[in-house]
Amino acid sequence: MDRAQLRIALFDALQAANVPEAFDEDLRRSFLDEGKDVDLSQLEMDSLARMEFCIAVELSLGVTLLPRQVQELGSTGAIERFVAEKLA
Amino acid sequence: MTADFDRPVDLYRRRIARCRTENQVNQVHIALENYLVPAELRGLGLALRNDPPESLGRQWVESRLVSLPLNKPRPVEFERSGNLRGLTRYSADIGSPEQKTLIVGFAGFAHRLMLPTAFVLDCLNPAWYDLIVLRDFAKRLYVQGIPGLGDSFFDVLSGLSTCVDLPSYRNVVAFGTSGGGHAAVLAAIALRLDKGISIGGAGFEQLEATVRSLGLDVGPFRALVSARPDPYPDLLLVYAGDHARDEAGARSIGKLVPARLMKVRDCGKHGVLGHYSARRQLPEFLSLILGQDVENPTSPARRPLSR
Repeated sequence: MDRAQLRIALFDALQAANVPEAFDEDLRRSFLDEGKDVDLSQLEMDSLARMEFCIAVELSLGVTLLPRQVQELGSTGAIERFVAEKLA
Repeated sequence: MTADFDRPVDLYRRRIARCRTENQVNQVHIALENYLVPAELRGLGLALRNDPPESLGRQWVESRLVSLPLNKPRPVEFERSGNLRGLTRYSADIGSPEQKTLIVGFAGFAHRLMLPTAFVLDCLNPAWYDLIVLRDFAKRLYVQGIPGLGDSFFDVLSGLSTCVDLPSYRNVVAFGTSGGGHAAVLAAIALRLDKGISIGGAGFEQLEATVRSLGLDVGPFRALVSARPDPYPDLLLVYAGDHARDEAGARSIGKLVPARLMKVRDCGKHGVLGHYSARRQLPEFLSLILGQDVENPTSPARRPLSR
């Protein structure tokens, strides 16, 4: 799986978690096409959304990422690197 | 704990035993939170109380029990019924509809009314309230309907009128959160309900964009928005005051239908009900927006809400 496919999967997981910003076309473009690193503080992710995000990542990529790890990693870029390492 | 509860607990333990990761356990717990009534949560708490403190199940249920707004057992408790995945009915075997308020809840994309369902039920006196929760699993703002109830939003409203005797109730309130907020407003108008409440609801522009993206006609929605049936429901649009998107959504609806706007001060989070739940003020807030006491709607006394 290349980085572009990984980013699509992670963005889809944000949508599955009902993160409102993940439905914004501008953010989608900058994340997927420009590889923008989004700080999680810019996203509306409550505890439920973090759990739903991790569930979606596990279901689609087979990688176990936990809600507390999402908080610690703190950005989409860091999450992407974490997941990429697990997939390697 | 009664023998009646042994089987559900057994089912729960078997389901959890099949989970291989914490995320899988969370998935089960999230789903349960969307459906369980307070008595079931308490029953699970009793069943798991001797599990190891670090067990995910015990941690989960204990955290939920601590957060229940009242957590006081009632003489008669809410029970869950309904065989449609997208419609769940909560009622207690006490009283009759003519003395009760029916709340028709339109859940958002997380398939809950912003909180675990038991939190909302815990605030309501089952002698005076019934609750129905509708869920839009397609996450299309109810435009594609609810399987088994109707294939469109308008078919859902017809289906609802068929399977629930709305006129038999003392009063009926449509109550929608987030992705269900606009639906509550429209349902209240279409079904001539007493009240329609949106909390953090999406604006009508978003609804129309969704309708068009599905190749459907916005005409019927616009006609409903423009309709002024008599009597007209009391419409209330609640939003977090420091949440720009939700304020925009409320104002967008408020421009098109006669409605009161309620700004929740010092709240920047979308989850307004969570905001009041964390402050242990959920019963008071629900009483305020329902316009009647959640414990006894016939009581003239109003619970104060310190904002």
